Parts: sequence; structure tokens; C-alpha cells
Amino acid sequence: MGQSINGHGPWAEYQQRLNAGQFCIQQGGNGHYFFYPRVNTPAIGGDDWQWVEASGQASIYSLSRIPQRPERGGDYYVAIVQLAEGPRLMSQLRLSSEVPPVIGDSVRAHIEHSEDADALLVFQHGEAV
Amino acid sequence: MSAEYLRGKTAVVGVAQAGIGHCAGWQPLELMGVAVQRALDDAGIGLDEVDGLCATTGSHYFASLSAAEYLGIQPSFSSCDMNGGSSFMSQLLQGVMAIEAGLCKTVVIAYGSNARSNGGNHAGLIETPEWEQLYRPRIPVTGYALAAARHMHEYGTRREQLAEVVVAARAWGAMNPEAFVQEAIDLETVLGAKIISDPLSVMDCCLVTDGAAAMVLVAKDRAKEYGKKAAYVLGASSATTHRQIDQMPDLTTTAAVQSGERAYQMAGVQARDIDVIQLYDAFSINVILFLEDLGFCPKGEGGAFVSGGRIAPGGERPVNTNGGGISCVHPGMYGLFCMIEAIRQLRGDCGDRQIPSAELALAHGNGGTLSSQATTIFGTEACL
Repeated sequence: MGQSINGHGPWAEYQQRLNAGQFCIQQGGNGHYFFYPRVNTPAIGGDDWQWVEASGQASIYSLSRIPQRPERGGDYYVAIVQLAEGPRLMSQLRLSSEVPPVIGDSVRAHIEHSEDADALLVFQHGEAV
Repeated sequence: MSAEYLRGKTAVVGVAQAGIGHCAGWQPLELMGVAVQRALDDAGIGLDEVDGLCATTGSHYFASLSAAEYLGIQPSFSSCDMNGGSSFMSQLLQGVMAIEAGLCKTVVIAYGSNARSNGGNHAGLIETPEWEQLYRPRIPVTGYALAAARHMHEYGTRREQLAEVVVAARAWGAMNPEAFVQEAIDLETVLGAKIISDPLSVMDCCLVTDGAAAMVLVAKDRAKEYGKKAAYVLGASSATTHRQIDQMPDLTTTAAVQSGERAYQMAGVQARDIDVIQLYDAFSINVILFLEDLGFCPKGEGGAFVSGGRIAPGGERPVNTNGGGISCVHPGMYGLFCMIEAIRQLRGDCGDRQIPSAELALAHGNGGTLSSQATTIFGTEACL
């Protein structure tokens, strides 16, 4: 894929695909995957990358519970997850049970759609994984 | 030519701080102006001799322009290199190079901020990377919390050990008349503090204060013209690994490994030679990470290293003798204060908290979310 200033950049492309229900990441010419969306293959350069659909499988690399009052939605978990393909990214966890998440737990990508905003990539923890 | 060529070529001959605490009614450039005048007075140099200027605030995008205009000078070298709280360490190295290259003769590095009295408004500093802001981390605390959580997971580091860093900082702050918080605290109180982003509590976080600082840098051969004991720049290096925390290659190892190694190499010293350790403690976990990454203890043993009062007053390895960002001052960026305490220790200016026979000092800066690391090493004339 050559760099072209026509159309839109990789970030918008990622979001369009996500909005359509597909979580895609980029795979560089060297075979390595990378995320977040970029024009250049990180570290080695070049634009011979391609979009691939991510497996959605991931594990919790690190985790922080952020206290929040119940009336504002209660505590939530911000995590850095590591995709099965290698890249890491920040996200929020969605819990399927009362069991608190810990580092190393498996999680699965989940796309949250909304009427008035772009789709959001989160990760599901617990029974549904 | 290798970087070691810069060893000892320049010296800091004047330092000053101003407005540490709460200074309602004062603007950042006004506080900076006070610090600059005090630093020049400390050195015995006139403003008209300043031909190099590195300037930073939390509220000026063109800080070197704003500061030069404010001071009424037209420097032949200027920089507002911005990589967060470590910017001042980077600027020091640039100042060293500029003097050695003959671009200028007298460099002032200056900073001013009213982050506290202005209601914590240092928006430029807490710019949230586009991807991360979708997930509502508490910026910047959550980034450091994620690093702390991973360190606890990999190495068994405990919250009690993070709290030891805070207890030590507060004990040092209690010995520093300039510190914003001069009240020692016990471990139980720290452990009982409110969690902001687990595992970090409000007490694991640095202060938000007002404050300004300045230092004056000249060539080695001019250092003795001035009254105060000079602190020679023996080594300096910076390194970066990422901007947003999820792109950090390894959450438990910072770029201080690289910046430290290069700074030690330039200075021709090792961690065990260092008498004075000043580490940018934006959060308690920083001290543990930097003690490891700068070679004061093996990776993973930082928690044990800081325990039992080792880095506190009376301990065998004093760290952050001014009280650090946790107890002394943190107006959004702390790097310049960190270097000034190192230099004051070398000058023997530190009163009750003075480290005896201090000859070699390390001041390490951190910027972004563990993103930028910059190490500086200063020595007395005896180290040349």
C-alpha cells in the first residue's frame, strides 16, 4: 500500500473499519504487527504495510482500577492489553463477573457501538472470554 | 570526537529558586524574572552578559521568545526544547554544547509557573495523547500507576515500599526551609491515603505548587571569576522511548538505563561513585525505577532498596534531600529544582540536610509519562 494523500489517513481508516464492526491492525513488510494506526512502519520505516483483522485475543499487561462514585458509574479499570499479535494498547475492561481482573488474565476485544459517536474498542474480561 | 569531550568544559556558577508554594497574583514570567535575577546575583553576573537563554513555563508556547522579551535581552543562542519535566536537563546539555561551540558565553536556564495559584492550570503539560483519552485514564497518574502495577506484578514490589519513598521525601522536606510541605509523615498515614489510580494514592503523587528557578552556565575557564563555588558539568545525556504509556517498550525499565549509561560514560564515573542522588519523583514509583535503572541497585530490587529508611535522613543512601517533588516543589515541571539541589549539595549550601563531603552529584529528570529520561552529573573542582 503506497502512501497517498488522497482519501484519508490510517487513523480514519481504522475508525471506519471499527465502526463497521471490524477491529483491524497493521502488519508491516517485516511481518510484525503494529498499533496504533500509523503511516510509517515503526522503527524500520517503509509503507508496505497492510491492514489485517486482529484475532481479538489479548491478555492484561498492566492494570489500574480508578475509583469513581457509584452515581457517576462506579469504579472502572484502565488496562494496557497485549494483543496475541504483539502490540500493546490502552483500553478499558468490561467485566462479566464479580471476579476482579488481574495482570495476565485473558481478555477479548469487543466493539461498542453508539448512535452518536464513533465505535469504541474495549476488552471483555471474565466468563465471556 | 566522542561526547566525553564535553566533560568538565562548563560550570554552573549561579542558582536560585523563587516563589515556591502559593503565589497568588504572580504570573509565570514574573516568578521566572525573580529567579533569574537571584541566580545572576548569586553568580555575580549582569543580565547584559547573558547571551544564551533556555526558557520554559507551563503556559507559553514560545517560551524562549516570551522570556527573552520579558528580560529585555536578545540572545545569540536560545532553546525551549520541550520534553516535559526533564527539559531542563536536555537544555543544560544544549547549553554546554552552545558554549563549547562558541555560539554564546553565558547561558541562563529558567523556569516559572503559577500552576497552583492558577488553579492547577498547566494544560499544556497534561495534553492527553489521542488514543488514550478515549479510556479516561487520570492523566498523568494512571500512566505511573500502570508502571507501578506491572513492577509489583513482576518483582513483588509492595505498596509499603512505595510509601517508604513518600515517608523519606517528607522527612527531607521537614529539614528544608524552602519546602512547601515541611511536615514528616508515617508509613501508616501514607498507606491510608485515598487511592487515585490503583495502586497509587494521592500521597504517592507530587505536589502542585507555584515556583520558579534559574541557573547560570559558563565555560570552565570563566568559572573561577565568580564568587560562588562552581559545579562543573561532567556528564549529561537524554533518551526517549515513547510518548503515551501504552507504547513504552517495557513498563518496568525506563530510558534512564540509556541516559544514565551515557552520562556516566561522559563523566567517567559509576553509580557507586555518586555522593548525591536527586531523582525526579513525580510519583513514588519513579524513585524505585530510577534507582534501578541508574545502577544504584539491581532491577527489581528498588522496593527493598528504599525500605528501612535507607534513602531518608540518616540513611546510608540519601535521595532527594530537598524533599523532591513530593514534599518540596512541583510546579508542573521539576527538573530544574532537581539539578539545583544537586548543585547546592556540592556547594555545601544545604544546612541541616547537607551530605558531608559531597563531591559528585547526579540529578535525573523525567518527562511525559516515563517518556523522556535525562541524566546530569555534576562535580566539584576536585572531580576535574
